[in-house]
Amino acid sequence: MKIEPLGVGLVYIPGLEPLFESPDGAVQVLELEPQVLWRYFPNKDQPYQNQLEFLKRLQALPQAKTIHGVGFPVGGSRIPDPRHILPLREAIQTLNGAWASEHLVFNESVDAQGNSVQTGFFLPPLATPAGVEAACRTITAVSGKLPVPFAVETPTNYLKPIPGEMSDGQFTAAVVEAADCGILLDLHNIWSNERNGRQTVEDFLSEIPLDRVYEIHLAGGLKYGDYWLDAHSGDIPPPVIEWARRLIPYLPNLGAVIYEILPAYLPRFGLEGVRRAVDEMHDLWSCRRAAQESDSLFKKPEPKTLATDNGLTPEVWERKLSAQILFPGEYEDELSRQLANDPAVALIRELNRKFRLSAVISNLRMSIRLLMLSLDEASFDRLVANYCFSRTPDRFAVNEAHHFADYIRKLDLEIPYLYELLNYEITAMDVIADGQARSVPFTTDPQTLLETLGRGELPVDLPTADYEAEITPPEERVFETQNLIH
Amino acid sequence: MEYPTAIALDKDALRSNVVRVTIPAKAMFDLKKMQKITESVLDQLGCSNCHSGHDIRFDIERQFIVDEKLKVHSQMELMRR
Repeated sequence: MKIEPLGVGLVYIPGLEPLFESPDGAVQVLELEPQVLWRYFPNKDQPYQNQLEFLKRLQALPQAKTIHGVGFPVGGSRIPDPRHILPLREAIQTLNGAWASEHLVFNESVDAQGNSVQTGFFLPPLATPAGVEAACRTITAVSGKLPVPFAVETPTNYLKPIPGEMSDGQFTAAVVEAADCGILLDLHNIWSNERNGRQTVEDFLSEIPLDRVYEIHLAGGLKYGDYWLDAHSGDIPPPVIEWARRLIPYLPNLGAVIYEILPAYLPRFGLEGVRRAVDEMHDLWSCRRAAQESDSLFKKPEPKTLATDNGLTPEVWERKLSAQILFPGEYEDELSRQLANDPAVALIRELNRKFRLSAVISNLRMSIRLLMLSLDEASFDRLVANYCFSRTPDRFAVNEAHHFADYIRKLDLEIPYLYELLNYEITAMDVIADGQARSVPFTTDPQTLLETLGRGELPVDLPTADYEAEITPPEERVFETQNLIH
Repeated sequence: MEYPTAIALDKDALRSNVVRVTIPAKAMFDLKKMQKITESVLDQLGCSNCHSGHDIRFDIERQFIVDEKLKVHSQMELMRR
């Protein structure tokens, strides 16, 4: 599969529009994560829906486009909800995407009763021949329905290696050869894995088929306890840049080098920081050359005896690892005990809790703020921990917010204004989702209540009166970024 | 970006006992304090766009509350003097 060389680019997030619109043309590729923009309607036959008007506006931007999936990874034994294919195809076709990619991880499994659960975090697949077969089945079930070439992204893996598993490079190579797909090589992930005690970058790169690398991802990370996290938080670490510089001349099929940053870090890092990353990527892109067949960056590794199946099936691995993340305390066997003793499991639980809370905050900010102002920190943390234990995660922020609101309602807390505030924010989500205005009651002036919380103050003794607030849908705000703090 | 913050009062509704007001679904009542956070309705409801790193949105919110509580406590201390 020959991939067209597109150049350097950015994963689209709100706030980067000035760089995409800049007349200097420095950003040549826009990579879209379509699921981030999907609306979710659980009761419809087709629950996932694109915001088509917004996709069309992105399409009008001058960059070439690529599509990067974030919600339906393909590394596990469970084939993702087939209903996501239609809107994914629609996004690819609307944007005229050159290729599509997804992560070589899993985020779905089953609980002890066999019910489907989402893990809320990308988890590493079983790296054995059986795991290769399972991932290959899942990849081809998705890639076979897409109209463009497909690549899988090399993930972070915070876990300690388990006995009998293949190396990360061997597993990646075996999967992409079996599935006949490309590699989205996330160099920051591979470097993070080395820092966290897994395979070295050099060994990993020596084991993967370099001619299958369609795309490189670069990003910044941060230290968190004893781990280096793939946080997408700012500057690309210099060693990652150096690995890219060494490697790129040996990638004959490289289509794009893409930089990633999370929206929450953009105000701190600034557009000029992202622009610096773009300039660095241009420097790297210029390292490409016509690769010769005899070219080799690394000495071919000694042939290794590939791992044989260690008795684990991908399904059992996925269930037991998920259980350690979601239902701590269930030590039914040696593997579960081994996982429970891996400090990375506690790390993932902690990061998962923050992901879930952040998803809730993005929709129920004032309700959460009232809870935090009314409860001491330990009580609030206990409430959150109990919530996370009571309910498995959801990949859609809208669902996580609904579940949290349901949980708080059942607690029947005696916190003034909490439930009318929750009602307002949950209703506002519905208004944003379908654009239909709705009304909610308040027992005090909602403007005073919301402004008080907005200042970070606890609303106390506000005058009581009956109010009915009509919540109006937002005007479409696209490419408005002038209030970003740089 | 301009976030609408005003609530328009429906004066006709003042004739009844219920006060009718209008609130934008994406009101930012704390714009001055929270302007360091980029918010967008575009990605508010969909899949989270990173699932292997560190989402700091909750940490930012908690720091804001801690700062405000400290400020309030500090003001109370001053008033006691």
